[in-house]
Amino acid sequence: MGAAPVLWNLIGAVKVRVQGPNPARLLNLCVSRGIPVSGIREEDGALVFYTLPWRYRELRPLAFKSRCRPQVIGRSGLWFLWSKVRKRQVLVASILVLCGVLYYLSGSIWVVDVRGNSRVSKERILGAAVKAGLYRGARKALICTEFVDAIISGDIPELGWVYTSIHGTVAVIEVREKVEHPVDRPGDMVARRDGLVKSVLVLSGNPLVKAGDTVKAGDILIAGDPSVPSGTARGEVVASTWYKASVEVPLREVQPRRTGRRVEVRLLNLRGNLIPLFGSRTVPFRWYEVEDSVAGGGKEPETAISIITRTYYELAWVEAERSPAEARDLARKRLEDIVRRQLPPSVKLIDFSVEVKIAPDQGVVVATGLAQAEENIAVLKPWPQ
Amino acid sequence: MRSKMKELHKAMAESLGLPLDLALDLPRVIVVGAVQVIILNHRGLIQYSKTKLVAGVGGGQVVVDGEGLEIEEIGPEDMAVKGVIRSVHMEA
Repeated sequence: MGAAPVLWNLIGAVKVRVQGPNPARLLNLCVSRGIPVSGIREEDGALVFYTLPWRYRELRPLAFKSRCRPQVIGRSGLWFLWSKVRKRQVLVASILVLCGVLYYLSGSIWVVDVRGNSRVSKERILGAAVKAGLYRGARKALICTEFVDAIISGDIPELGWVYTSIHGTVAVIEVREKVEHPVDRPGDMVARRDGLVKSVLVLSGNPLVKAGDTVKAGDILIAGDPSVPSGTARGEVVASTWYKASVEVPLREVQPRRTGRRVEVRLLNLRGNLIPLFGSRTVPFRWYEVEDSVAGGGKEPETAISIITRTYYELAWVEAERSPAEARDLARKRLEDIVRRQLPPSVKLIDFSVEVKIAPDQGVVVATGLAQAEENIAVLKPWPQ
Repeated sequence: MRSKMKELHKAMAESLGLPLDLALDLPRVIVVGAVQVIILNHRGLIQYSKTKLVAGVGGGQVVVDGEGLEIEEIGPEDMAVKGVIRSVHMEA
């Protein structure tokens, strides 16, 4: 199929059908006069081609000269759209006004968002931003984000860092609040928990323990010196510590299982506000699990729009029976989770042993875990004032 | 006499290393697979149908045989033909 070039289709193209004894001569005449023709093909003994609408008039005398009869069989492009639209002046004016309003509104701030604050209220930050000229409805061109940062930082001394950015019509003020360190009070370093001392590092004070000593929670590890004004004890005492936990797993247990029935709901997420689009507004199940899948929204869901597909899965409570081996594996896994949750992140796990006892007559499997770790157990205990 | 002049032109162009199509006003025909033929330096369309296209060129005619032939573009010097190209040959 012949076709006009893409640009012609956009700007404007006339589809012409030529019948006559020698249509090739018409094409030669068009080419010699500089009339652009394109997409030439034969259709039912006639020649069909495209030309530009404003050059079509020049083609007619050439057709007469070559004893051909041209006929317009198609029109496309903005040229013809404009000739239709210009008769509807109100419509054109409305479109222009709408475009103008959209352009004007896109140059304004529609939303001012504050992130990262916890102690300082959002209203206080927004109040400071208003002083710097950043408010809902402010023109973007008149906003200097560095100036806004400086004004907010100056007005609110509790903030340590302020950064304002503008994304489209949304202004985001990101803040970090200053961290207030507690005033050091003099005292001794005492053991936080029982342990076997592995190493002692004293920065100030007198060490009362050495590597190889066994200490109990509350024992003084490094003593401060009350005779010196800043005589607080400081240092680290690394010790082996032990964490113990036990867990019981019944051999028969009632568990939730999906029945296979599910309901899907589509929600529109407008900066955290969920608006139902399709699907039921009430969940028809008594027990259910929920899974969300998000389409769109980008990296910042708070300032973006996204479609959430929320699926509710019906659950039924089913009594499940486990074999002792399954129960033992499950007990071991649960125990590991419990012990790992007990350990602070800075603690180094050295060893982990699990002892499992199966009591089929009681219908349970009991697992006891013992974890050996290495950690700094010294904490400051201030002297009474 | 005319053919002698042509021979002379050809000999001169060859000895000077000039492109023959420019020196002797000859057509240049580019065949792109069996889907497109580009004829440069043509002198007009002589005959056109879905199965045959004849273009006038210096020294004769270029004949394109095929199926569903369409002239994509035509200008004063170049012409692009697409379709299922069966043969392209030169007739004096």
